[in-house]
Amino acid sequence: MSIALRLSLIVCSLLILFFVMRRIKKSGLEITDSIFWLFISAALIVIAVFPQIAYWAAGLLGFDAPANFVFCCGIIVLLVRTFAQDQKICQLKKRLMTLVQEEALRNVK
Amino acid sequence: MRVLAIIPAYNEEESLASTVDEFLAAKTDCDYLVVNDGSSDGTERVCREHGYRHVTHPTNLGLTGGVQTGMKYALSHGYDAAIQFDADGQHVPTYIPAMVAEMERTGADIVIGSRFVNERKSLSARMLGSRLIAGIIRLTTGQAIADPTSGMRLFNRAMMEQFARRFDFGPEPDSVAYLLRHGAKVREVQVEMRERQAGESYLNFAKSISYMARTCTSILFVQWFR
Repeated sequence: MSIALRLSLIVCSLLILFFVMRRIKKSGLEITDSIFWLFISAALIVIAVFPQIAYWAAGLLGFDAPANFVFCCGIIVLLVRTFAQDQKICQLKKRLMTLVQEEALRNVK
Repeated sequence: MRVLAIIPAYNEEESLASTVDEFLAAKTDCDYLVVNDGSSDGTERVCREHGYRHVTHPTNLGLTGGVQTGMKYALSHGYDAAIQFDADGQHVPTYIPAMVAEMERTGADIVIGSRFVNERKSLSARMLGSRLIAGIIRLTTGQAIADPTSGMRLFNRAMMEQFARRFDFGPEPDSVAYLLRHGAKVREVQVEMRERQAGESYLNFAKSISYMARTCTSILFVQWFR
């Protein structure tokens, strides 16, 4: 892993931390969700400071380069997150529908 | 002091009637409001049949939303304090007057109905969690709360406004820690609590872990820039 990649991981991590903190301050993020982002931020720092972890895991799983392993992890985490968000959005849509219909029907009678 | 007991109920048809009837029989001098949080069972029917004072959410919002509805009601109806009272029969209403008296006597902002003022904690996994949360609260606020996870809490008007106004501010240990750090005065009164009367406990293993993770992260980290 190049120094440039490690530095950009650290910058990314700090940026995430900054935006998460700002969002929480403005009540624009639920604490439960902020935990996910804080975890990502911490994981990026750990990989940047101890790239041996990436080397070890890349060797174990047969990646050509540790950077590939880091990217692959990122993609998987984001895929899972998107799926979880789709579920959440579906739930919110259902609630919104119930709410709007209840409110509309209330005005009829 | 006019006090409202907020009884959040989500699918509590089995225990709601006995809980409210016990509450009424205890003659606590407090009013009550059942917040039916979009239940899919017969909770609404139980409220209507017995003529309980209640509001019903058209959809499920969760405990935070349910208690917030109660807080908004209490504020707009001029109550001086509000107590959260569980619908599942865990809380014993005869202890409410002692908690109200403690608030009047000491001018506390929050009075917690605590299981561990005089009694010791057992060594179960649940109490391990309670110890951990109590330790973190002591670490970040410098104050000792014996029973941070007790759901039986009495709040004065200033606290009610916080719960009514804020987003994602549930009746949970991290909110109490936040209020403590911002100068709220907290007292504890010894109470007894029962095991759940009906239904299944809300906290299974996976939920317990995520509850602990959320609570600890929130108190240790998130609260500082909230």
